[in-house]
Amino acid sequence: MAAAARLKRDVPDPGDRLRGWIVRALPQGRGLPAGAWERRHRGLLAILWIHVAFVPLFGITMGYGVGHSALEGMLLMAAALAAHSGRLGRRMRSTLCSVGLLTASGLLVHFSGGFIEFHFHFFVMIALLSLYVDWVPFTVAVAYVAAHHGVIGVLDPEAVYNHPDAIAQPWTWAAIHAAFVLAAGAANVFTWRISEEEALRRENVERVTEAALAKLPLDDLLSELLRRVSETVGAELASLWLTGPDGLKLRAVHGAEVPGAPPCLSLERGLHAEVVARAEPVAVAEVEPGELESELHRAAGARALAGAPLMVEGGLVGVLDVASRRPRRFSETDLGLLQLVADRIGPAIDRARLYEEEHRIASTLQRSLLPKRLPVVHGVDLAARYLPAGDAVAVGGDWYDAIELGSGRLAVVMGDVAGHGTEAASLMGQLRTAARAYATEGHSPATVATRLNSLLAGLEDGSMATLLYLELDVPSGRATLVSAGHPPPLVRRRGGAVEYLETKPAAPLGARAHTVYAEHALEIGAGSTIVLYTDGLVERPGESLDDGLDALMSRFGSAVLTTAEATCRDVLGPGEGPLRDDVAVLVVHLVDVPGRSLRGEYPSEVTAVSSARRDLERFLRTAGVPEMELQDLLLGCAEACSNAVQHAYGPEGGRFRIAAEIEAGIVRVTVSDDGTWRRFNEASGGGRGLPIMNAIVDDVDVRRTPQGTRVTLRKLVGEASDDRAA
Amino acid sequence: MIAPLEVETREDMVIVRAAGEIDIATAGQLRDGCFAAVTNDSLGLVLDLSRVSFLDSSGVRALFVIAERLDEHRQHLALVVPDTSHVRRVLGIVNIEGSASVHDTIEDAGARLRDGIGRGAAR
Repeated sequence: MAAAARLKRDVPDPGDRLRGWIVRALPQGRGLPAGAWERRHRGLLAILWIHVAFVPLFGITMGYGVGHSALEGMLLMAAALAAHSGRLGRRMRSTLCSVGLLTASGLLVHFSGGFIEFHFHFFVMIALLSLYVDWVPFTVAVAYVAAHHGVIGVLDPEAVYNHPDAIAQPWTWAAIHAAFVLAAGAANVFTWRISEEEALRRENVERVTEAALAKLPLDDLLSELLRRVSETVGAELASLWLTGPDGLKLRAVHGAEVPGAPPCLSLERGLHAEVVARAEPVAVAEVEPGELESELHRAAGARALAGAPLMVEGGLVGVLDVASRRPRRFSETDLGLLQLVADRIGPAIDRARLYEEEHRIASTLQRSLLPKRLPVVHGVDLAARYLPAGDAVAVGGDWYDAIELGSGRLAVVMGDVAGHGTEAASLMGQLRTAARAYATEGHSPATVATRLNSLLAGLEDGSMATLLYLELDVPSGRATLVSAGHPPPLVRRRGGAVEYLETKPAAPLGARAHTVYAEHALEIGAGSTIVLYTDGLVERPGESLDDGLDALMSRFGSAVLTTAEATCRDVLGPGEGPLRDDVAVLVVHLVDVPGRSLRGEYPSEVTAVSSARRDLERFLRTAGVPEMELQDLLLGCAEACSNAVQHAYGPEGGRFRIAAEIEAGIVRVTVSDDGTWRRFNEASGGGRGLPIMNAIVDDVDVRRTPQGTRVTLRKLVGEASDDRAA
Repeated sequence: MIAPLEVETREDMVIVRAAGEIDIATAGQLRDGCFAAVTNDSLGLVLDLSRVSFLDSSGVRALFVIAERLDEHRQHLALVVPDTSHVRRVLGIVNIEGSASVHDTIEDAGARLRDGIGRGAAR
């Protein structure tokens, strides 16, 4: 805590200190709410009117003339009438009423012949005036009493005093009277301040503990509480920091703009470190800008800080701070209030963390149960995407799959388990596995759906799921479709025509013990693209389902179809905030006129290597080989081609060939030349060509004969390589 | 194809940005371009390969040659290659780390160059 000791704890200048003390000791005179002022003003005016009636009567009783008494009574009436006027400001009316009441005191003393006992009236009035809780009428009234005594005491001593000492020395006795009035004023001010402080404390506590705030979303609650705490303690800046792996991270701030990523704060030194270490509120009355740990506070020009720990179940989860741009002392009350707000925020943050954790677990489980990669099937470009809902309770249940069935057949599956959370995700995992098992056993689409239905109905827990199952014969483009209550797939034909496929929908899986699932035969045709999706893609808040389907159709219709991956992105559209529901999308593109193999011949020149590579890239991309494996194969091919170009022929030159095939998930690339093999030392790669090839493909076979050299690379791609790894 | 190299000379280092494909046909351009760009008084060379989409053994060899030449002048080669790039995979296979450092960003690479000199002085 050596660093904390360097922070100055007190305001050093004694002058400032005294001023600060006086300012704090005096009531703020915050005034009253309109209704309360109105009531008190009316009451005080009533008292003034009573004086308007009785003071002249008293004058007459004491032997003064009727005219004299009435004239002086008129003074009071003028003050009372003016204090009624709605055209004057509140403060002015308060002041007029105050002056009126003290004038009444003065007149009573005057009519009594300066009797000391009538001076008591002043003290009653001063006590009454503090009801206004406003400095202006109060100060004016006290000054008025002092001036009245001084001036009248000199001019007509017997009007204010009734004993000879005072009449002989009016100024001395005016000072004595004024001192008592002041003392009465001070006593009133003191009680005024105490009750004001208590009211303020109660109000402030109410401001931050207001139950209605609990209904706000977390971000709104935080910004509202930060605003209130900064206003209440009179600090310009309030910020909330949460503990993380690298010290504290900003969660919310009031009174400053924080563009970009939330800043972090190390806990090596400074106020926040001290709050964390002591787990109690800490305040610093003056800090030099250079001593501030936090960039946020430096930028805001903070000069005084106070912080309180956020505790949840005895553990510290963050720090709440307030900062002021000028040096000041934060009182115990300020710190207590800060801690109160911190205590309110702590559990809210904790709940939010639990909620995020739940979301993370459900999303992770869901993702882990979805296919890691889609199979590589010749003639088909496949891509899929799953986006979890932004809301923890909405995550889970969507699934997709693509299953290679052999002899150019492929099954694509899209499903959605009703319900959400980890339970829906795990049921989804079971259904996906079961669908795979039934499909690879060779069952027809209708049988797969029927068996899944029996399986789900047999669980007897009321679970349901929708399913779309499409079996595709890639070479012929013929497809068979079964739908169990799932939204229809969308197809875009080679010519660009977009339509929803007819599905003959039947009941969702699990809805009934025996449902007959009808197969629907379709012609998809080469060059077509099919989009399977879950309802989260078309059900948007505030839109009808038809609007959602139309919007999807137009997004898909206007997409530039390059790869299935890009189509996936286009179909999902721009993300607008957190999703209300999970979304899964699967795009199947039947490659136009699929080439089963690649053959190419090139001149033996260094620039031809990139041409060969480009041809291979196009072939592999069309076949849907995943990016990393595709890059590995391109590199392997380039090494073999470079070698052929450099070493096969002498200055007379020659030609080299490449060939590529994909079969059962294995890509075979052959590079051959007709030259005389020299040796595989590769001046260009410094002997690194062969090791690189061995590292990136599964098998490198180099054969040389007097007729030429043939290098064959083999690599497992897509799902096949995953299976092997597992 | 390789795009023309972009050369930026800063106070204490030279930054070369390469883009395109580096293979048997283009590796020579990269090597010669880097040799021409490096000044004697710099700490070394930051070679930004972020926009290089392809790198084969010819390109790898060029990088080793550049690193060797720099080392003779007690200068360092810092490569910038994004973590997800295939180029990163190739550099890992050939163990480039023995001759040049690999970084995610130009800032990291620059910091390594300055840091390396600091340590050299302490030795």
